[in-house]
Amino acid sequence: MSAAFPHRSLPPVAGIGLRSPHMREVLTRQPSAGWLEVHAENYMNRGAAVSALEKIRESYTLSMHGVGLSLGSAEGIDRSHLKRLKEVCDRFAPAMVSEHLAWCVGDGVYLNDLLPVPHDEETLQIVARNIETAQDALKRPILVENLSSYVGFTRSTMEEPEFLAALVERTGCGLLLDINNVFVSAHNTGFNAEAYIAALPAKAIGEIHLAGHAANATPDGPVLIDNHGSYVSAEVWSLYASATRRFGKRPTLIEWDSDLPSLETLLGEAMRADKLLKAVTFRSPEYPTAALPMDLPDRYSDVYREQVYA
Amino acid sequence: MLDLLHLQKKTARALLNGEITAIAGEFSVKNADPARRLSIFSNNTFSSLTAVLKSVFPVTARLADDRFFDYAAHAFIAAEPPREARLSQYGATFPRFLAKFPPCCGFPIIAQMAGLEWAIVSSLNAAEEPPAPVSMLEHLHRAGGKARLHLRPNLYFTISRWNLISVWIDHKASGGKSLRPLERRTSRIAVMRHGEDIQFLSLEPARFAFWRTLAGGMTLEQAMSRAVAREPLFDLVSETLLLFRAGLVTGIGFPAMNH
Repeated sequence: MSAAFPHRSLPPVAGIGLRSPHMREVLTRQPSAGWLEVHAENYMNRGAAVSALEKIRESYTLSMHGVGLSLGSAEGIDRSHLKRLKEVCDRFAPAMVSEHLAWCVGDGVYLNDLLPVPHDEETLQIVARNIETAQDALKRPILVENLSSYVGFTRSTMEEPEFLAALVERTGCGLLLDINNVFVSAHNTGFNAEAYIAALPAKAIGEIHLAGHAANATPDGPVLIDNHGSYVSAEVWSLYASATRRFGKRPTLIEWDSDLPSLETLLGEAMRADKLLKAVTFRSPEYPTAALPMDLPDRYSDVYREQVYA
Repeated sequence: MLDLLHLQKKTARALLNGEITAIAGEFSVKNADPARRLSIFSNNTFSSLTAVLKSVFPVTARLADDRFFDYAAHAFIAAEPPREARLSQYGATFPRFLAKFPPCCGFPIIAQMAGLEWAIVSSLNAAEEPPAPVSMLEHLHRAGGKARLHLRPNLYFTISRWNLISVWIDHKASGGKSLRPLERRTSRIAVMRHGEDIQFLSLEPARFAFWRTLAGGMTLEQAMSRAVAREPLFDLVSETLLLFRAGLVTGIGFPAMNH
């Protein structure tokens, strides 16, 4: 890896995941948000949501996040899906395009879940080929996101950071570091989250994701589920602060998909990330980083509301 | 050890049919049962796809009862899983599946409401195209009955023996809290979108047949023939003019000329 991934194409501030229930409110109130990320698959038609997003993109920087390209599929990428993704990118001109280190299409079926891949040479070649196919078609480098995992593979011969670094080296892609996913995977499969983050190629990290998770009780003990359905946990904020000290400011997304809260709540979480970015970057005495995640105004206060909708 | 292609095929089948133990040997995890962990992916697949279906068919779920809907959705997902990641296309065959699903046989309203809701979501996902000017009508004489009228791409049709529209509107207006009593009343409905909103038109049998035949890509002559079968006095000229004036026509397709 000779050069940093051009992460400045997204502003190095916090953005939010835009979901359909909030589109009308974003259009009418135009709240202050660093940038917006949308799921590409929701805009692969010519319907009402596409018209709404076309209006929204006039006022906001967009990031296009795919969930269906199946970069880890041994049968290769679905060319029809890639063509649709290209059309979406051409239409909305996002500042960034990202996908997952995962597969979701097998035996002709789309599973609507992101499944992990083994970390071995055979898989590395397959994923690298698929990333190159995608980047060639899209005519731009993409970011590849680490996945939440619940289980490993007997055939794996390398750790995930080494696998991701090899993908960066072979394809020129960047990385989307999902810190909640690191935390969830570390808990579920037993590795050290700080060591994982430290082993990543810093210059390749073009974006960071933060989200909430749930804990399910099982006979084997609690399993963390990456459900994107709650506030970012204190442990994940702490890892984020650590990653930001290590990597510097990176565009950061608050992801929330299930039990979707109010837009204000999402923007509040983004403000929290922005404050932390500012504190870490400028080492501001006003915001001591150790206390920062807990040290913000009440997210429902009038002062906060005015700031968000200023 | 399977190669990755075969491992993924086998895993996809196992997650859908529940036979996870068949692949568990390929996976490992410290201090836990790999099969139990793999079942998380299977649960995610079924629960996320059920949520997709419920978002497309909310009133159907309310009519059927949530738990019954989950049961029917699970059977549908196992029998007809999505074949592509563009989930806006998933659910097109759900109304037909419900119509033939044995536990639903005594309740045809459930499949018919699903048909209406699929028409609604299809309309919302379809393009809006500018209407053709009424002045285009004068070009019709060149082709006569062999011409095809291109209707708006977000125009969909459904037919039911119940008051589906009023039940659907009432459900939406009440935020899903109330459900109007069902009344037996045959309704032929055209569904189309205006911006982000949806509009319903209740049509007489002949007009319904005329519009639906044209929307299916058939000629004016064929559409006329189907309309007249339902209403011998069907007035082709005024009905065609109505389509133009209502902004439902986006263009005219002329037959290839023989030289």
